[in-house]
Amino acid sequence: MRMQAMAAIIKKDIKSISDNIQIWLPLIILPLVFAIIIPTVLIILAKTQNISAINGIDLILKTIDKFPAHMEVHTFSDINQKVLFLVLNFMFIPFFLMIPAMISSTTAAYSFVGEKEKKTLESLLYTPISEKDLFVAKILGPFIASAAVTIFCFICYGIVVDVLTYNIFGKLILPRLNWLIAVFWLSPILSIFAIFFNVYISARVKGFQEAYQLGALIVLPIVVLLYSQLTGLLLLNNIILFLFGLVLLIVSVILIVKTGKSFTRNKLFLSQIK
Amino acid sequence: MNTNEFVINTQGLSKNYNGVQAVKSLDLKVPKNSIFGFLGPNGAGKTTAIKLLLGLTRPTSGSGSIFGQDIVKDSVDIRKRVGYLAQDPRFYGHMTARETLRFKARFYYHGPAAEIEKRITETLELVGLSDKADRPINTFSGGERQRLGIAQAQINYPDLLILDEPAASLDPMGRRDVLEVMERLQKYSTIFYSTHILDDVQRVSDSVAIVNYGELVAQASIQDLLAGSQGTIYSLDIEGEASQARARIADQAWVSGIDITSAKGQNTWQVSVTDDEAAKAQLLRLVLADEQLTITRFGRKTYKLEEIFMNIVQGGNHG
Repeated sequence: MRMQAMAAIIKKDIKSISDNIQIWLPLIILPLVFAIIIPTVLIILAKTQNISAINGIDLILKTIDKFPAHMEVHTFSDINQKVLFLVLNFMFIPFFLMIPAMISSTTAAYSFVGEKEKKTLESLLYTPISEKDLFVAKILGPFIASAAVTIFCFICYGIVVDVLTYNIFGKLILPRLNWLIAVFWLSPILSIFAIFFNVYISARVKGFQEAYQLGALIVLPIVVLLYSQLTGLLLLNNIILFLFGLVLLIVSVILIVKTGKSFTRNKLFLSQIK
Repeated sequence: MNTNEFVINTQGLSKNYNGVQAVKSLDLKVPKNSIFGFLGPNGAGKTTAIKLLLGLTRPTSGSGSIFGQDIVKDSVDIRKRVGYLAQDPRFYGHMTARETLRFKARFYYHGPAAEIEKRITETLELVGLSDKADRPINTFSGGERQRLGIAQAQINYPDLLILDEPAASLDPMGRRDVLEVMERLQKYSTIFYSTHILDDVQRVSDSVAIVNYGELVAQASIQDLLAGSQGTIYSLDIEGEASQARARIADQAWVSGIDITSAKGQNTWQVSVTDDEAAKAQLLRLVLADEQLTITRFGRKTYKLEEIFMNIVQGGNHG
């Protein structure tokens, strides 16, 4: 009965997101842009233009020079190949991480604060579901949505990149270990972190819009990562990706403990009547 | 009455919100299989008391039990057997009535989908929403939402049905239907409901509790409450010269007072008695000993609930 009730809540949450075009449309457009449109445009540019003539290319070439000598990027003699390999394999990872961050943040805000705003949370509170099961069910909805879209986008990205670059590199360049760590280790943890961050702020905000705007702060660390990549300050190698995930996991555990304490029927009911 | 015969039993149940005493030392006893009316003016604490019983909020002090289980520690188990209609039921607007009941049923039923659908269909018929079952709820009127709320409350064949203003938003026919549903369900459930519509309470309730400023000010069976706090009074309409009959009756040890009002040649007597059996046996005979008197009406005075309610709430009387 517990699993059935939790599954009903997850299904209801996913359906209410999919029924609201204002919520799901941006969540589909951004991943498609990052996973298909931008890489396609970049690859076509690399095939048709002389990359070494582009303004600012020196910055990227300097970044390549900072890569350890044994790395695969140095096996390419052509500048177009080097730059394309760097961008598609490393620079795109922070962009890609925005997908689970944004989806989790938006869906979690809708799942928690949206319910509080519409005062439908009470209808869940007086069912025979424990606070723990309700909490888990409300988290799983956004997590499943985020994981599904992230993996789908990764598959699309991989297909687009491999199909369009095969004649450039003479081989398939995806999937690679760093991408597998990013998609199957870092993305789920980032989703959980984004969800719990939103649960944490949901008790402190009045409506969905406020939660949505505050939840967007999640992308700040990703922007920092992107900047670090571009300037060569921090190269997202496998170890860095793994450690970043570990740090986020620890922070998530702290957030779980803090948010779990406030997820009681008494506090949730009081938050609805204020 | 044996405490096991009370479905709801509270002792000193209290709730304080930031210094405001919403519920004050509530000792509520709701008999099994009764229709129990929970009355009080706006802001009296009725909804807060209901939330305490359902475990939606914790008491500041005191305790309570439903089905013998503690309302704080065993609230999840209690809610498996309780159906609840909120004062202002909220639904997921994108769902239809059928989907809403299907969603609700998942919290209570684990069995063949066909059986659950059958229960959903029965419930929709019971509240008169069969023809609107597949429309989105955001197109429903207030009365239709109320009916859906009632359907949702009893999807799980609850042993206890708690209804917070069940007849609100309903027209007179809708109210009548709700009362009929409550009477039908009494065979299977105890029904505890709050309302402002005193005629409805008088019509269907077995027992009543009245709260005022968070405090229980009266709790009794409906008959005892309607009998009045002023003791037993017999009312007679008499035509003719009745001074001798009056003196005869006033002499009786079981008569504590006679109040006479006159209008259009008819006197109305309100005879307060201390011995109901003696009054039943002798009062009429004593009056009719004067053959010239005509009695056009005789009976025990019954109060309208509204009168008693107003006396208690405005006068600060405790029943």
